[in-house]
Amino acid sequence: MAILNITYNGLSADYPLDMNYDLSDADVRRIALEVVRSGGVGGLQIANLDERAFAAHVIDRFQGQDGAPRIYLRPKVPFG
Amino acid sequence: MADYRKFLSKVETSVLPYFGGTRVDTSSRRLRLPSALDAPGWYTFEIKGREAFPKDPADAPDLSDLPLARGHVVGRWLVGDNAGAVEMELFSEEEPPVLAPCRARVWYGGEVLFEGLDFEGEAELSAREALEDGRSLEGIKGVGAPLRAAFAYAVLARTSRELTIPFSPKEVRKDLLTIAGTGPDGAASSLRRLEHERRMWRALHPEEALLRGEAPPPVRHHGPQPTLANAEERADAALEAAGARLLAVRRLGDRQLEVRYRFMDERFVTVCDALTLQIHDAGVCLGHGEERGDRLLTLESLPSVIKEAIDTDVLVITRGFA
Repeated sequence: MAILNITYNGLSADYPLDMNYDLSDADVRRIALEVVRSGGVGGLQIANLDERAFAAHVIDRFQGQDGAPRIYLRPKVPFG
Repeated sequence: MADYRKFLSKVETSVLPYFGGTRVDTSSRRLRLPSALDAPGWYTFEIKGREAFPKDPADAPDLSDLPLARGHVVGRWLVGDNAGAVEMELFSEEEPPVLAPCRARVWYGGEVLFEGLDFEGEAELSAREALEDGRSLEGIKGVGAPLRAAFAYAVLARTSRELTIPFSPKEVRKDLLTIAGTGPDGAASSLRRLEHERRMWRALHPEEALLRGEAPPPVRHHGPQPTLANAEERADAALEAAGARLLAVRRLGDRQLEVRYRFMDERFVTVCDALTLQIHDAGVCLGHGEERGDRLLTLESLPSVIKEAIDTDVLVITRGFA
């Protein structure tokens, strides 16, 4: 089972994905939007979350220490 | 029917290296310690399930089965392929000559352990002379890429002490080729660029008041309910999941937590909210003013951002590890 870690506005939460790890970036953004709107991720419920809330977010894929795939959806930030 | 309690209560003994934090690695798994130890080193541990209990200091075992890493010594760093500089752990008290060819072994958690020195050639001797004379590598033949990078790091280390401008290897990686060809002048230029960026950052970001109570801490799908008491445990889990290793935490005032950790062979110090793990000061430059990115992130997502900074050669560290 993969874990989707969503960071939005300075808060992060995990959401377990009972599906194939090979999700496209568009799939990841769509899932995140749905679960945050619906309250599927504890502490991150925003019912009226904008359709494009995650459009500029970066998606990173790691292999966790426990071997489980982890997908990070986090804001793009400037450097320097 | 087999009594599985026998397996669960089985106790093993093993000699393992401790590098800091509350975890140690064996060949097959990562184990949790009851608490951090006083000092890094080799210890005998009793292992029960996924927990390791330290007993006594121990001598290092034979490490020859571990993967070998080669490079050149600069201080505690092993400089190898791709201009990578990795800090060697449990390093010998006697510091080898700068630029000496060196062998090391890579532990299961990725830590690099000094093993010994190799024979030097003409290239190392000539490069060391150039370093001592304050010259560049211009005109010296037979200098391979790792030695060239090591020379540049050594010049940077020396110039850094003179100018009192600290640096980390990944902050200057893009300048190494230039520094090898220009010597101390190139190193000074690289360090002054870093210092300029840090000054800008400090000028634009005086200590800020903590944002309080803006949102409840998120509830994870597993793990403990966030409290101040379990902040270290949650910080450890957040970093661990992203491939970083917690070294130490320190409670600051105003619900803040200073977190020290290793990630991608570099050390970082980050200040975050002890309850939500929202970043207050990432310890690396993440923009200025309204565009500053620190508070958009948490300790869970910060390693991904640091990786991007390293991969794109824009890392500038603002919070020192000393």
